[in-house]
Amino acid sequence: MRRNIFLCLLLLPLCLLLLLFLVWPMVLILWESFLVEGKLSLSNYLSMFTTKLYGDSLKTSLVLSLTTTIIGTVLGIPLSYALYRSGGRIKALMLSITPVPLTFSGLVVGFAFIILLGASGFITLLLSKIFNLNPLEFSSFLFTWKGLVVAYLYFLIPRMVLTMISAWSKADWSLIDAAYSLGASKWMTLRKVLLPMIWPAVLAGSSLLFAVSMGAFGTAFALSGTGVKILPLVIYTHVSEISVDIGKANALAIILALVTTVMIMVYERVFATKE
Amino acid sequence: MKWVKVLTVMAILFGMFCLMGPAGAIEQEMYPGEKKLHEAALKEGALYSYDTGPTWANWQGLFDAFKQRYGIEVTWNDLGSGATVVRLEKEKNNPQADTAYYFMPFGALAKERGVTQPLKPINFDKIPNLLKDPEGHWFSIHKGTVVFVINKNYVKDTPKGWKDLLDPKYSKSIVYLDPRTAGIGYAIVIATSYAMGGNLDNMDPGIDYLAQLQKVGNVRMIEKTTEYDKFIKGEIPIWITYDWNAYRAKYIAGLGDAVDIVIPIEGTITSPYAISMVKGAPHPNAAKLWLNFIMSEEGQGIFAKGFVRPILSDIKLPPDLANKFLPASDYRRAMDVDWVKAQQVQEKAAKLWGNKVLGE
Repeated sequence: MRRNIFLCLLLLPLCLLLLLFLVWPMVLILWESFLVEGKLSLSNYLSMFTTKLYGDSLKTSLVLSLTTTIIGTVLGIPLSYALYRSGGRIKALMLSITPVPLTFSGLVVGFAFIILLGASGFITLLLSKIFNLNPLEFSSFLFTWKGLVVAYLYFLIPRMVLTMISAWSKADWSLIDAAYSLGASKWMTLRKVLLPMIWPAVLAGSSLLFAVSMGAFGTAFALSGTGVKILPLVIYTHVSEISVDIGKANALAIILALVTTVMIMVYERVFATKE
Repeated sequence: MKWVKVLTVMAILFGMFCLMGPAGAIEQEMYPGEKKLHEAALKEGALYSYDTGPTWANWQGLFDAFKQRYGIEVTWNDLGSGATVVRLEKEKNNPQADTAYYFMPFGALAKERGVTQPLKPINFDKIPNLLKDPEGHWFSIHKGTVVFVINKNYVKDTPKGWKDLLDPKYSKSIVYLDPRTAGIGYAIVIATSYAMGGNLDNMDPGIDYLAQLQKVGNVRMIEKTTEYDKFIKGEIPIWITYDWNAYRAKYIAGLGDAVDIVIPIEGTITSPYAISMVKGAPHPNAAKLWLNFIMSEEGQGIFAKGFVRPILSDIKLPPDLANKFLPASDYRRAMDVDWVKAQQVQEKAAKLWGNKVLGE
């Protein structure tokens, strides 16, 4: 009994923090999203269906996030395994470098890609010299959602690698040996032994990638301005200058949070049963 | 001994510090009552100026000169015009800002929302009547003209006007700011509307034109924040923006002959930018001192030094500076617009742009 009270006391600061910085702002946003000129109304949400731009943006956001999540997960798993298997100095060095991309602000990431792949970027100039390309045409993809896929992967892959590394380290490798010695084929071992061991980490990692790319703003803003139709940028247009409409911005933010959460919940529910 | 050296260095630094300050003793008044206002402002000790981002329109130059003359540091933010009005409304019961700066149409909006207070700074009478509120709730302090800025490293034939921009040789070349988020973007919509035979009641011609520009693939991207840096870095072949950005790239960033500045032959528009004293400003005397300084010949001259055209037309520029501006005959193609009306239709125009240009 006394221990429980002690635990509650320990948890209290965290709860207060969440209440103050997560729940309270969400409640405010939710409340204001229903207000139109001081009256309760659903019109902010209904505009999601009537305004083509909002629907389009949600679609592009989903396509962008799913693409980056799939590529990030598929590349992240073997990378993290190679890293786990590599030993000594290299491993230590790589492990300390991996989180670095996560510390950069979106603006820095955006400009880094412009310096590499922009019209006067290093890679662009190199490729256009070799293959005789028009640098303007070649680099224009960078400012569309496809460019965002490339830029997002820069900070998504390290997230996947870091999540997976701990799974590899915690995996019980004697089970693999046991499976082999009992006559399991490679494929069977992979499917029945290895995959179940790392599956929770794969789920957690890919959910994290999806959530991060649905909400990412800074990189997209710095790299492609507001021309790419994704939800975070559309929300921005409603809090800035001409089209200020805080109610709509709030409603779109709620929709973004809701869609992301529901997608992740469904995803984890569906795939967790495989365990 | 080591600590003797340290002490000496510290003493020298302290001496230099004492010689520098206290900044801002006025030797000669620019206008009657300046000294008294300054004393009152010094007691308030601070000044909060909303939406005056230092890299926009040479605000940094004004901050520095203000600090040098009066010893008061200007605290600024860079919200964007619309967000500034929203913020002022939210802070209505407990105002934090002393002054607010915006794309001129937002001055009228701010007055309508009751967040401004009337103030007539020095030289108020010299501001054209259409560009100020009669009571001084807002007044224009400088203007900008929509021009093309060309990076000649990419563009061999400099386009002369809006129609030229549709040419396939400018594929993936044009960058401009989003009309939904920036005053300059909206100014471009108005400029193209007039150039294509429309007006404030009928902006379809302009928006259709911009949609076509998008469709033929000549638009490289729709920008919002870092367009100046991208232009300097060589990422933007053709940039539609205000003239001061163009002059700044050419003369201050030193791109020189690699940059062409074009006032389109079909015509363009000039946009005024305005400032207000905020109702219930926490530092009213500092606010007055600041607004007077901006409207003084010195303040207006600092705009001009950053190639931002001051609202006072009689500001004398040094000849070498004046010669760098495009000739007045070119500027005659830049017309003025009924900005009060422009403010009423801008939301509609922004929506229309979003649907037609991005809605494909």
